[in-house]
Amino acid sequence: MIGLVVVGHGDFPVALLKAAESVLAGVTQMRAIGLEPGRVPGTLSAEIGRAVDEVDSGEGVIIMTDMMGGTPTNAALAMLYRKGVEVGTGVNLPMLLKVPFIKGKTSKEAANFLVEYGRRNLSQPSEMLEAMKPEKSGKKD
Amino acid sequence: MPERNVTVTNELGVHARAAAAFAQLSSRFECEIFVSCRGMEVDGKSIMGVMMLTAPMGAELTIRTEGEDDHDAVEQLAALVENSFGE
Repeated sequence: MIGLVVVGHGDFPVALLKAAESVLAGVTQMRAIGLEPGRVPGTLSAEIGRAVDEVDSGEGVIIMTDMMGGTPTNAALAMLYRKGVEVGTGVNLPMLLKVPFIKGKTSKEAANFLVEYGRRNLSQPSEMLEAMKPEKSGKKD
Repeated sequence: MPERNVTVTNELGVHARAAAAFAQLSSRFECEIFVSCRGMEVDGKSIMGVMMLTAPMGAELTIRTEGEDDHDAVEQLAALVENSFGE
């Protein structure tokens, strides 16, 4: 399985991974790292590097971060020099739940797929519910 | 192409954990798996797809499989739903 490291601000990554674990049985090869205010960015990169080592089973690792431009993403981007590591931003719960189902993809392909998948799973339910409404009874003109 | 109708028996309906259990079991099979509820059909191997059915307790699901191990798949998946997704 492809490995995943979630990196972001505050408790968000840890809580997000916990949420994924509460939904999906057998979530393995996933780690979460949260950046607390005042932390030295250099130590963050080192921690991400260790997490990448832990989740890498030879099939590659994706680092998913909370948002582009933030310190967690910048620290993650420093890992791009490593073979088989790819970074994606804008992590959400549907993405995490999809990871164990990804097969036969390189980390680059998988990250590409995941980002697209995460995007596709943003929705505005009221619009969907409107579209699902059954036709009103009686003849329509 | 085997097909089975099953009734959702667990109180929370096909919520996130139930959908995940369904998709995880589906993914163990080679065949294609479709599940539908109230006229909407989704890929049984997709957690988000199965969750989109928003099937509550008492709803009827139709499980349809197609491929090499389709009989096994439909039986095991129907059993999962009938056993309230193991909850």
